[in-house]
Amino acid sequence: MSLSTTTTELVSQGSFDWFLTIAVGGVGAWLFWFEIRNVLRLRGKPTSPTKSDQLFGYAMGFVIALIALFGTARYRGWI
Amino acid sequence: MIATADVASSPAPTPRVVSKINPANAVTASRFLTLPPFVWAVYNGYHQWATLFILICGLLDKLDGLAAKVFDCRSNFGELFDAITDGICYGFALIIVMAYGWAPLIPCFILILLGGVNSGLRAVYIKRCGRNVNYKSYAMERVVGFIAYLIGMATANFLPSIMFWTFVPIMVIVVAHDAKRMLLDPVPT
Repeated sequence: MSLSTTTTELVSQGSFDWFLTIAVGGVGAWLFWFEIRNVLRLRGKPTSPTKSDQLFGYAMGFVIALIALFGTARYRGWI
Repeated sequence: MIATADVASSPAPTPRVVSKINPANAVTASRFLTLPPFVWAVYNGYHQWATLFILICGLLDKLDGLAAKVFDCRSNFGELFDAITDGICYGFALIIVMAYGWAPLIPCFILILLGGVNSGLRAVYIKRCGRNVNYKSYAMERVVGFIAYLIGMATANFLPSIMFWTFVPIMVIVVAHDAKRMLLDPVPT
């Protein structure tokens, strides 16, 4: 029995997979909700270049959130 | 009456000068310290360690904004330094994961190229404005955040090919949009 073991990684692959699921999927889900809330908050504000920039940014954030959610589902083999 | 006279005779408030050496910029600069261990981890094939170091780099990116708020040391230089540090850290990390075959070559190359174009556009915008000002792009903030994630996905072997290729069109659209805003639209006064 060996007393010393050489480990090259921090945690087991299973734990690391769950960490990735939360880090990517969880953050993706949060971003999805966050961007919807941001867009709703912009309603009623007068049109301006800043508002257009904000809307564009939130739309891109929304797409990025969808990619993160899709990637997580694909990584876990759910789809 | 006395109060009015006091106000009239008091000197005009001078703009607050923030030193370049402040807690927020120190946090920003500390992000460079994550790069040598990141290279070590990639070189040795330690995927989880590499993910950890790029995660720390990303978290420090969030912390510097918080430090600027807490210590009240926001400055134009700080914003520019943060943007430049983003470019150097994430650009370098992208090159490393690309060089070691952890991320697909062509999309990585396109992302680095577009990052360089974006930096050039910002330099032109500063010239147009005539002062050190960082163009606030809500879309680019999200894109940079996701690039950090992409590097983490490459180190974690999280569908790197699909994720990188899916992201390229988004980066192209955002850089094109920001190019129009910085080069063609009127600059704010």
